[in-house]
Amino acid sequence: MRVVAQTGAGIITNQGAYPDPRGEGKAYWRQVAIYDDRFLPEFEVIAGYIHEQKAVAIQQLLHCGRYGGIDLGYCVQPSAVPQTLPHFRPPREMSREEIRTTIAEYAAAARRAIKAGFDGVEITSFMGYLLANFNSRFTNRRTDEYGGSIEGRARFMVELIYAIKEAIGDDHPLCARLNGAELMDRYGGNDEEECLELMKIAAGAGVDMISVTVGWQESPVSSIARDVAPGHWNYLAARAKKAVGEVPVAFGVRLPDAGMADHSIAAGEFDFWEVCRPFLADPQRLHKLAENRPEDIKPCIGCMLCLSRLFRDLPYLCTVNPALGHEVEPVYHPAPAVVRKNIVVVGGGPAGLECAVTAARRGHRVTLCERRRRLGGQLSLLVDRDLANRSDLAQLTGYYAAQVAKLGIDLRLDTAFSAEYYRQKCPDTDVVVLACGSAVDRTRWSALDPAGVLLDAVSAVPPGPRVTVLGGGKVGLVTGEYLAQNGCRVTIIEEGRRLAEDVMPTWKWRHTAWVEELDIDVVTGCRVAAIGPESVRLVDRQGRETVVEHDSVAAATPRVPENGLLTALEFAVDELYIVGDAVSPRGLYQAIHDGYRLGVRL
Amino acid sequence: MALEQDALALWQSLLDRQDRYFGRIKGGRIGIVERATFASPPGAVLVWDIAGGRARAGADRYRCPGGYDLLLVVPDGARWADPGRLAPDPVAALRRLIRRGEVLFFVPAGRDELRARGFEDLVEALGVPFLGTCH
Ligand SMILES: Cc1cc2nc3c(=O)[nH]c(=O)nc-3n(C[C@H](O)[C@H](O)[C@H](O)COP(=O)(O)O)c2cc1C
Repeated sequence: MRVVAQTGAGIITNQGAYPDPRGEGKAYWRQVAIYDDRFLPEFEVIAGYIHEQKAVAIQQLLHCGRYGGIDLGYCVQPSAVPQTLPHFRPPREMSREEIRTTIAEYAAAARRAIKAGFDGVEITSFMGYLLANFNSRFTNRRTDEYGGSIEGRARFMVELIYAIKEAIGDDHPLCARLNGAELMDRYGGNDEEECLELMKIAAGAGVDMISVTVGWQESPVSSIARDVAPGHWNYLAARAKKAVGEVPVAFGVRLPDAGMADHSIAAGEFDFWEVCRPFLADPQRLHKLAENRPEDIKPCIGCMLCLSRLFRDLPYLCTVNPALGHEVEPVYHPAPAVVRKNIVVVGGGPAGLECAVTAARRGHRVTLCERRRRLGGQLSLLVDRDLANRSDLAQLTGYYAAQVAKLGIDLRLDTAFSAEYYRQKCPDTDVVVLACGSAVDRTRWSALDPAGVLLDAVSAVPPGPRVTVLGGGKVGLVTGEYLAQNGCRVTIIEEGRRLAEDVMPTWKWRHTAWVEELDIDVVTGCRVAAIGPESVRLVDRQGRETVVEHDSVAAATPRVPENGLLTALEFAVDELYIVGDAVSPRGLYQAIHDGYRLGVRL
Repeated sequence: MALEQDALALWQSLLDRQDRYFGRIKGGRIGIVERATFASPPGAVLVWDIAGGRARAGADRYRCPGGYDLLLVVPDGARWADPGRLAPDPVAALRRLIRRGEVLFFVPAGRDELRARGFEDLVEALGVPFLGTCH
């Protein structure tokens, strides 16, 4: 929390704490509770950290409603509308009595937050929590005074605002996070006009600031993921600003760029820029901007690893910031090197880059050898082919390229590193780090491919118009989607039962939706029996054969580590390490984290 | 949705060819109900009762809660009684309709229960991430 306090933000809102002792409001493991005075000491410490940095401290109060009850067998809602995602608990309808108890618990929690030293509190409907459940036509089907018309549905919010205002007084601000769009239209949720109407009601009831959010957890389209372009939702904030008069509006959903935010504030679209994931990616970003070194900022790539983990009951991690959550552990701190070593990193993919940059920053002399003409390794595959917002990923490679230059790393592109090269061109080396990535295991397919027509889906773009891709994991999907978008007729063949098994849970749907939208043919649960220049022959579990015709065929799977240099260099160098996919093919976050963990301890 | 015996027999012959979706499920019930009935029950519901790796088509009166593990809410209209609309692969057809927003997907059962009864593959085949949340 001290790291958060030191971000340089002027207002810091502590993550939503659930206000009820039953735990109906609790949506994820380790969510903080604020229903009892025994929690005061922790909140006092947090408020203290924020005040030490002269920031305004706000405590968010968050009953998660439809997404709550994580430790219980149920969740509570205004009406018992069933879940649309298996992840959440079956619903129970709240009685009037329970509604009043919940409002009283919120008020008590607000009082407690102020007692702990917070300057104000926030209530939130982000992203489909209890407040949103009452406000929404989708989840509020009540026929009593808490349902029906928009005023009826807003009654819970209005009573909540009055009760909290009464509890904390006028000297302490109360903010409300409200949906600018629910993205639940198909389920009969509120439209954008109704969302604006609810903001006006909140403003009329006396909230001191409105933060505009977008989407629900279960929205069938993206609200904050990488396929949403930065700035896409700004119009919702601008509309809110016009609608709520004097009440200040805060906004920041998928707006990672400070320049864009400045521009929007100057244009009067909103008053305060809110930042969440970009701070997880780089908590020092504001200071770096103030020091005019934007090239040193690690970009948030919107990959959703943080939230994927949060909702798998795991502490959240950040793909690009391996130190997140480990700030108090010295082994995660890049301390100056005690002995300055000559380090050769082989491979300019994410693992090699992160390791090289971290080691160089600590004072080591680093040489980075990459066999291609550009940096990025498999990350460049995404930069070139991914259908989501590629500029996020390009920013990450841009960040690494800038650091390599700035730290004086001896960059050797187009360099085929070998034991021979090492002996001739790397004198006085103390450490070699192998970060050579992974490749398709051609031995898996060679017996089936007598004509040798199979291409590697990573290194080659298979020519169309009909392309067969072997492997329905992320490499195969990204490649197939890219080809389909560029006019090819694509078939993806996955021998396992399901597509996207190596894709993180919050992003799987995106691939399956793209596959559908791009009309890609998919065959799962079959064995490839023969690969030829014009077709592949498949056999299903019942022994039935099918033939898929194509103009080219590429394999994206299985992947094997490129670790051949390990043996060759074993007795050639003092310290020899291996990181990233070269250990075992995994994903971007594991590669960056591997690279960092080695870089900080060399 | 009027579900005559003939229509049910056609549903059955369609479901009999989908063992790859139902083979892992240790028992459960899927309901397919029209929007109007879903909004104000009762009314007719088409059920797929799954047992022994097979789904059996049947007609029932829609109730809420009605013991459905998954509930698919389809647009109003008699055409939903016609299984030909979803042939040859009803799960893939439903996935497309769910994605387009024409069919609404609900999960009345709890996650752990669904997982224990082997529903994970079917839910994913319907295009819904079993463990995915926020987008
Ligand atoms: C790990 C994580 C935890 C979050 N917790 C909360 C929360 O407790 N309350 C809330 O209103 N929003 C929460 N959010 C949403 C953020 O406040 C923010 O609205 C969202 O991430 C979009 O902004 P961004 O693009 O700057 O990340 C959380 C987001 C993340 C990534």
